[in-house]
Amino acid sequence: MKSKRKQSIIVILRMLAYLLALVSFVVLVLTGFYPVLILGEHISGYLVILHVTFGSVLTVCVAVLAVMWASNCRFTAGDWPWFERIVLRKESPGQRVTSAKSVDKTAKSKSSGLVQKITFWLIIFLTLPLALSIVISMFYLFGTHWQELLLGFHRYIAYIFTVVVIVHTFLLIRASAKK
Amino acid sequence: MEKGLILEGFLFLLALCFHANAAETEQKLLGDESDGSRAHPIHRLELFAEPGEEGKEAIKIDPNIDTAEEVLLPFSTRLTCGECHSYGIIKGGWHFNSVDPNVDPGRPAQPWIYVDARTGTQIPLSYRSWPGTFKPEQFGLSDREFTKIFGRQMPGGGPGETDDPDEVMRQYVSGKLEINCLACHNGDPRQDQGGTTGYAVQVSRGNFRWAAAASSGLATVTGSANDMDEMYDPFDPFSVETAQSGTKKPPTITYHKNVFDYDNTVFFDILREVPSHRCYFCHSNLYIGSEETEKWSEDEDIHLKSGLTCVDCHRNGMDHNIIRGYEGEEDESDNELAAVSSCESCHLGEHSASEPTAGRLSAPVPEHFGIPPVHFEKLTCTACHSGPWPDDETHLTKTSRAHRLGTPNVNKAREMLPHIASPVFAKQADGKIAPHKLVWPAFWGILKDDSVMPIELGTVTKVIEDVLSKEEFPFSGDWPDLTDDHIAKGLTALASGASAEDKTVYVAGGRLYSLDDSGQLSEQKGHPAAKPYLWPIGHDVRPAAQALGIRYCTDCHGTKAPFFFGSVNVDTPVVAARESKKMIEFEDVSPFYTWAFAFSFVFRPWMKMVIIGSCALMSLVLLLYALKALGCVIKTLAGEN
Repeated sequence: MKSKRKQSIIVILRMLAYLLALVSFVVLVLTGFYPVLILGEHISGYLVILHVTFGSVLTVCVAVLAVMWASNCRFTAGDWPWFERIVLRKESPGQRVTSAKSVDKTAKSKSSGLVQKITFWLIIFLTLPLALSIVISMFYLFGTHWQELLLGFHRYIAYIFTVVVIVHTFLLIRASAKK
Repeated sequence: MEKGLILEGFLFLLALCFHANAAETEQKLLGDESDGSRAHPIHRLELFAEPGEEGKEAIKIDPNIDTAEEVLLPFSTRLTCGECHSYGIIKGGWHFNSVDPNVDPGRPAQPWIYVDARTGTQIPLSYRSWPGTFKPEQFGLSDREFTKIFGRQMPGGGPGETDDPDEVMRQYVSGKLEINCLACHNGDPRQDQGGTTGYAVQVSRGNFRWAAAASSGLATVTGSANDMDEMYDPFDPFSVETAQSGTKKPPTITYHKNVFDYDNTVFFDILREVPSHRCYFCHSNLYIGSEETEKWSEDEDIHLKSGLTCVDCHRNGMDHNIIRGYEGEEDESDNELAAVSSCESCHLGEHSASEPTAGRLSAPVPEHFGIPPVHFEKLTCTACHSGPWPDDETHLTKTSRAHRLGTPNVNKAREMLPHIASPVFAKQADGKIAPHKLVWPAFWGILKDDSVMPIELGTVTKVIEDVLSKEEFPFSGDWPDLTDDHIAKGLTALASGASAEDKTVYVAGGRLYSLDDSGQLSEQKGHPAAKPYLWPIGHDVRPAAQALGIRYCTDCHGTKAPFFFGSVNVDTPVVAARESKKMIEFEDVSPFYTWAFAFSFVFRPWMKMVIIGSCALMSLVLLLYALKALGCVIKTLAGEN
């Protein structure tokens, strides 16, 4: 009973962290890309305050999700049938056929799960340079040239991050709808 | 027939070429073009004076003439220096061309400020079309009167040389204030710009013709052209002798005997590179802090201390089109070095240039560690590096040109008018924030079509001095304490002499005072004519270790940081209107946003820690699962299940 309650609290926490991260992501995309891509100028004014605030929130949320969801998103044998195929080639032909058949059955259903997991790990991985490229530039470590490079780095990582998050969210919603 | 035509055409072209070549040769005098030698040429010259009549030859000066027969005249720089250097070309230089309406005024700079505490007047004047300044003629000042007041710290030329048909006789007596080449280029330590018989005094006495010679260290000038009537003839020995016997002495020159060589030539210690102390005579600043300010207690500009001189950056060629040194000057100046003489071009280099230009004159290339690049879009270099360090309140500032610094009998009181405040961080026309000096205009004027024209000085002096005759005026030269009643009386008195259509107003401290239909005094805040006049500060440049932001971002982004939240006093003789504004009002940024942004710096260290902590956690998770995955791969490859 206790463990069930504990489990539901964790699920709620995970959902909250996810939702908060999603909201922060939307705010960051709007505040970050609108001035740069639409207005053609650097982010400034209230947008900076919003961007920095929600950037911090997103980083914390992603860290929380990394801890809470990493186990669920670890790769399993069924996630990569092609890998198994390569590995199983080393074994006997009879075994190989049987295994290959069983893998084929699950392959389609697992493929979207695999992309979802990849995007999850990519989100965690990309959050690091995304956040650190700006935080590091706030220390007295880098001069103007490196500051500009870091800013450019932040921008391009943000483009990739955005695509990855959109794909991840799309797959998550699709998976939830199927359930 | 055809052959003849061809020959004629050929001869015509040949003649044209010869003519053009001859004209070019004629234009260039000996000293107009350098032969490339960096050595200083010797200047042993004959002195020439202007003749009494136009069109006559220049008079060669002989100190041994019989003064009963001839008048000993001051040498003319136009004729003496002009022997080898084209005076007409030099005349077009920045220091002398203010009266030429065709010259691009460029970035607003320091105006001439006319002050008179007795009439509550503090008005920025300039011949250049800088918004917020008035032309001297709009204020009722002729070129000659303007020169008499402000010529003390002008290098001659400009309004000192214009022909005024209304003052032909007076100009004949006083002469023209020619360009005083020696004011800048004389290396003789006796060059006297601000002494008791020096340039400034001679100009104020109306001795325009004598001023350059009097200050050169070669001669002494006594007497005053102002004291002579318009019929006085300074070229007529009889007229001079007669005047000398009177109580008021005419301007008279006595050349020092040892300056003339056996052949009546004079050695001039001419310096091509003008020493900085010559520039200081007109370009000194005194920032008055809470304590007594003295020269020895303040540092000079870091560039000077590093061994540079003013003219290392502020360069010019023969045309004297000197570089002012601000960003974007190349769009307004013909000086080919303007593009490579701003702060950025020396310290950062011009990226588009074909050759590397960074580090000129040993300029260090700044790293700007930890400064986000957006600062360089929003701020000028001077915002962090120039002028005094900003304080909770702006400093009262004195400048040579506004306060006659370096001339005899200067009122040294800290409250002496004009009241210039600095540093005021304000947005420039290019959208960047820069430190400025600021003056609040105060003057009596006529309101017409929502613009205010100042009432002529003569009228104001006559009427307002009478109105305020019973008031006490501080000995310090500060404003008198005026009340609404004084302003109402002044406006009434001026209105009685003005036409019915003209609405008399008084502008002071950012307000426009006028009398309404019932005769009551009304005031309007924020009228464009009452706006303060600001001009950017270039110097003194502080070293990097004393630049804003060197300690932490809160040097500027603090909730009480003077950069945004310092006080700028609204200067006015009207006691009830004395208040202060926040610096941010001049910066065109949202006060709440700026405060909120500054407030966020309280949490910034925490934010950094949280983000770094989160990143560390994510790194650990990634590492953990990467190791796990690696373990799996190793096991699988090893044939384990």
